[in-house]
Amino acid sequence: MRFFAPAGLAFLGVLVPIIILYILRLRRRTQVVSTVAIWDRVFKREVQSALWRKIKRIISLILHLAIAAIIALAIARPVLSDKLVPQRVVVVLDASASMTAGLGAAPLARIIASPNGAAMTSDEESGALRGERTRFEAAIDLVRAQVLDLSVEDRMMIVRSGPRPEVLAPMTGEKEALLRALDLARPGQAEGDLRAAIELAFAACRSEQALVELGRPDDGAATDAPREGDPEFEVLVLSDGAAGSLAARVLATEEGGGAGEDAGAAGDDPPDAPPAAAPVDVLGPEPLAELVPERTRVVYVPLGSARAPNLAVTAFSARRLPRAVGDLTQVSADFEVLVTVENFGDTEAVAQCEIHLDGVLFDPIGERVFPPGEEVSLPVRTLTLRHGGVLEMRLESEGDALAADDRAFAVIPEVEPASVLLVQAVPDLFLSNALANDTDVRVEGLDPGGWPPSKTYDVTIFEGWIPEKLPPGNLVLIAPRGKSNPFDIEESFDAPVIKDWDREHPLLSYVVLEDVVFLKAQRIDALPKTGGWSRIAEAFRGPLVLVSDDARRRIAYFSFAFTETDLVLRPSFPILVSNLVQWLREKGQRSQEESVPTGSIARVRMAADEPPEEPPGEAGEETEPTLVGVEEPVTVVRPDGTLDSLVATDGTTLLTQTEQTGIYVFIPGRPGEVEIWERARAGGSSSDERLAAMRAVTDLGSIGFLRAVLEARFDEVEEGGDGAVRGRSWPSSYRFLAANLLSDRESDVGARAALGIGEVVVAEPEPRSNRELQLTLLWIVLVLLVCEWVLYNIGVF
Amino acid sequence: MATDATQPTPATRTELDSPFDSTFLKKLEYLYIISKKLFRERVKGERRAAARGTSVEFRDYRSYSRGDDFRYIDWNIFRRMEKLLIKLYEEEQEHNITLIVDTSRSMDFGSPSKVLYAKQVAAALAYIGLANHDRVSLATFTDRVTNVLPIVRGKGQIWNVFRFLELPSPEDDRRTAIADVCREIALKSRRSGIVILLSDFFDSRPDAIEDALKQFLHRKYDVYALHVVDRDEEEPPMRGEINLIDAETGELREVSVDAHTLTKYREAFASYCGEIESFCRSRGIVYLRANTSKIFDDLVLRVFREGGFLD
Repeated sequence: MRFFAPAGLAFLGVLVPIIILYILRLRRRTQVVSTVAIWDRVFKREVQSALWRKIKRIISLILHLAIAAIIALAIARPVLSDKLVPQRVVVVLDASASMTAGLGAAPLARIIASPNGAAMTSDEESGALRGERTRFEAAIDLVRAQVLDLSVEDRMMIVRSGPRPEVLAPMTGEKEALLRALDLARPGQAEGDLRAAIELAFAACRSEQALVELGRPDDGAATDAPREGDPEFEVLVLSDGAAGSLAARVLATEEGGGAGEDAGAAGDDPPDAPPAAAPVDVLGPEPLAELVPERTRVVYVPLGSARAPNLAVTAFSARRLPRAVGDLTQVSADFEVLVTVENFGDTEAVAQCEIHLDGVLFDPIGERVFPPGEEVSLPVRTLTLRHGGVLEMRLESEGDALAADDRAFAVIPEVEPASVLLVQAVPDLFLSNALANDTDVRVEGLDPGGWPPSKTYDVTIFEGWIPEKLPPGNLVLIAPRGKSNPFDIEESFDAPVIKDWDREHPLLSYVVLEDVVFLKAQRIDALPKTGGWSRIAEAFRGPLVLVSDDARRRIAYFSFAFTETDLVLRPSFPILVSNLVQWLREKGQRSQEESVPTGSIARVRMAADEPPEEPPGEAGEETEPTLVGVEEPVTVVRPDGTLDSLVATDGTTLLTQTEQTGIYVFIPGRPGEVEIWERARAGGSSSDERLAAMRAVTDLGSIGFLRAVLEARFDEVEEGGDGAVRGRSWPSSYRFLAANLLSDRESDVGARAALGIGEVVVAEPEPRSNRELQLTLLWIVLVLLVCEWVLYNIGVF
Repeated sequence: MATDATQPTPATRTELDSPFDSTFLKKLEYLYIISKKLFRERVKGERRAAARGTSVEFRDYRSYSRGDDFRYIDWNIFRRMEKLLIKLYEEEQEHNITLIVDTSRSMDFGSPSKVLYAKQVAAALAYIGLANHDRVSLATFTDRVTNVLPIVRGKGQIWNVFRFLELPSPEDDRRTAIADVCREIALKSRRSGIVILLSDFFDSRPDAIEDALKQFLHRKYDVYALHVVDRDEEEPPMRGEINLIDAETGELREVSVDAHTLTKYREAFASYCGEIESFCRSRGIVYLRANTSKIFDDLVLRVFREGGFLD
């Protein structure tokens, strides 16, 4: 036993005054009374014998001395340890999706391996780690016990291993702060980056070690040499080990202990060690064991069973099908849904599979059997959807270990018709009719005299005429003449003969230019250096079709007039027009991800168009003012119904907290305004209904709000007779984002017995070696005080 | 050994130190006037017999108490009101009043001491008796009769009464043996009358009080028991570890006194007094408890009237 504060033993001096007081106490005050007969009645004639009184006094004195001595010991802060070493512990708390799986009942092979190679195996599992709790809950309980065991000199830091490492509590000795951090810790439904969290823990240990070295007195000795009294460092990893690459897992399973012999410092395995116990570095190709700081002990506590049944959706997406032959629409409304399900268990599993569209059952795939270890693609009928929607895959099976990978979501964006402005110097019915026949195009005509237009369009087509200044946006220039022509046109040449064209370019896809007759074409000798111009159709004497694709916009330039070629009479012409509009409008589409892995940072474009950007150095062209730093409030509704406030800068917002699987809805406005507005929208239009809706928002809170919104939307979805699903569109300002786990390594929930970082692997962390006895001593004092009180009152009552 | 009190001259008294000075005498005179207003004057034998009067003149009712003679219960009243009342009759005769004062060591307790308080009360009663032409005698006792004042008569004898009460108590062992003393006094009395016993009734024998009072009851005395107590006996001002010493016997008790103990003590003291009172009530003895903290002159009127001594 050692003492943190030996000076506290000086309190033993209080024993002397206690003895003096005891002697003084024996000198009782004498009081003459008229009679003692009444007092004899009080004590009911149970007059204590002199011997008993003496014994009682001695016992009382002994108790008092013992109490004082124990208090002195407690002040000296004794510890049960041969060496008095403060500890610095960095806890790495795995909060990945697999930690939400149950602990399981199967025994986990336990390996206790020391860095020098000695190892022991045991098939026993700690009873404390079994039961119905999740792995994360078990981890929290274990850390909480460790926090309570900290002595005053110890410090602890808690790192949450989510998609990105997060410090829940900095290195501190305040138990309240550590326990509070644990109370607030929640597991995510995303992949965890355990390696980054462990590296952060290592960095924290190195930083603490540097602080210790800096704090040493300058006595001439080397400052980096360890000294007596230096704190011990420990990295405590609480995880199921489901954090490594799939290849490493397979290797570990197939090759057993041999695969891990050169990884880490776990040393030689005993012959009967189970394969799962092989110390394979599952945390990445670079051996993490080499990064372990000096004088730092790494303790890995594996949580969960080595084998756990789990079915998981590993892929889920909806791909827009190509247009059918003869389909002149800009965008196909048919979608092909891809679903793959993998069985990560050891036995065959049966699951009920369903696909829902906007909460309504769309394709009851039915009950399917999944062989162990195999990935199965499910057939899903083609989805025809003109409007946007939310697809959801549901997988229901008994005994499934992980729920986060049983559902997957996909957002199908709404197809919006392209707006096209056709400005023609001379009417061209071929082009007008080709545009008018495209159902996904809204075309408007304008005479050159009416320029400029009052609004903006996805595509503007100038045929035979261009304004003095080219407008912003995507343009089609057909044999233009004017000052703003991007090329210097001085002369034309007659009867150009097609030389070649770029068949891979989207503009000329399925377009045949062979044998097309052209009367004449503009002669273009040199292309401008800026604007990214390129030729995609070439005649022997010059280019016929050129395209510009820069960061700002796209321009298609035809050096020949459509009225001076037989191309307009060929089947390729409507295809060319369709390609033209489709290629150009892609530039103006929202470039946002509609499905992201959980835990990733999502970039969501709230504005309809990309912000205009000026090409550098383009002199002489008038530009629109660039929006920089314009901030608008955005409310995001998370899958659990909670609201959060974001800011969209220049129309784009970033969402970093995407650890929940499901649909995130982004709505312009602040949360309070959004709730009231959406609720009113769902409730009705009259003032009374709106007022009632506002009250309901107040009563229901965020969860009720989301439910009301979703129900209002799903009620309006119906399936048409032609198999197409119709539904009311959300407001165009809304954006949707699907976040899915879709992670093999998280779905493979079998806990790994080792991480291969030279760790000490235990089923339960040991209590702190230098545990203080202060609290225990105070409890003993309390018991002794009770004894003294009882002794004092014997004979009184 | 009882000694007859001599009749010292007034000059031998030191009035300055005596509690029985002229001021005290004026108080007694005032008390007498008050008592005279309460009673109709009688030349001889003016005091009524408080109980068991044998004359035919009805005097009053009082409530029945255990031990009363059933023959004096007014059954007509009981039938009408369902209350047990005892009929009192006038008994006109010349009274012998014997005042017996306890001067044991336990009576030295208190502030003022119980013995001084008892002597003042005895003086007041003697004065009223002498003024009413009754024959008054006094005695003091410890474990024996220490002093006796033979029968005196007439108001002028009050100074002899004062001198007698001022006689110091003997310094020897002054325990209480109330039963023996009362038996001695009762045997020496040739005629019955009124006996007023002033004591704290602390006797080492548990049944001594009852024995003492029975001595007078057997000889047809009207007995008055005046229980003198001090406030510190009712509410002992003590806490902690204390060695209690009995003032008379010198016995030692080592006790630890706390609030709980004091509560128990108060209950025990009340129980002790209640036992004596209950015995007296059962035997027709007028029992009065006199606390030394109460003002003397008011007490003589108020407490004695409540007890039926004057009324």
